[in-house]
Amino acid sequence: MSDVVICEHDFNVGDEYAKVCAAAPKSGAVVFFVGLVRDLYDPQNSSETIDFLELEHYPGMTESLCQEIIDQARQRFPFDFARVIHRVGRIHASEQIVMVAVASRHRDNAFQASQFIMDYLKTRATFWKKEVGVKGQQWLGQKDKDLSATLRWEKNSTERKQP
Amino acid sequence: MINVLFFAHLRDIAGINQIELPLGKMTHVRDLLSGLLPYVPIELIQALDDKTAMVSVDHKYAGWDAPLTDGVEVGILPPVSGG
Repeated sequence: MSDVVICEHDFNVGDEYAKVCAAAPKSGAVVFFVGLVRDLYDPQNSSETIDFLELEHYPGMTESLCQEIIDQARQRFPFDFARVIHRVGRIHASEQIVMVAVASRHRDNAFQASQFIMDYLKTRATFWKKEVGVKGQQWLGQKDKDLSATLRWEKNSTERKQP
Repeated sequence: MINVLFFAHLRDIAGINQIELPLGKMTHVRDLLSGLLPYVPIELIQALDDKTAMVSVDHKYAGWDAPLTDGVEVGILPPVSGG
């Protein structure tokens, strides 16, 4: 089982934890990742602050891709339940933007699956961020370190297939 | 007809959210380079040509060789930056 939610409103981690536990009553481990909006313009050596992000996505395609990513994670690191929430629209600095929760029998798969899902969300799922603040507005591109994080899983996959 | 949607900074470059195009002689994704040319600025075509733009067909990432058929929805997508 898994859930994907794309929404404009904020989410409550306590409520989400209760939902995940209810959906996976036999799990022995629950891992949560919550991403927050940083207040500085990208790159991080910028000293100027943003007012908010505008998050855009491709309705329909985004949900399919998120589900695909979760399914791929499950094949590699079997788990009981995953829930992904990604906010869109206007999101201010320090607000929550994304949540990945994975419940599994043991902690290792929950840790690995949540990281796998997060890495692929950043490099595959059809979301785009625009920073808006004192310096004006700019669309953000893809970061090399995010691509490297994703490629690491593909490298691991190749190594695992070798005898 | 095919329905072409533009996203994020590529929508800003295109100056439009979407456009309906007759399929005409377009048979594959690569034919979008010429098919879109009369309707959008050259910068958008260049982004497609130098692969800084990605393309989807009916909500799936598609390569240059993917077929274009009547009624499909095409997305013109900048590199993603979510999470």
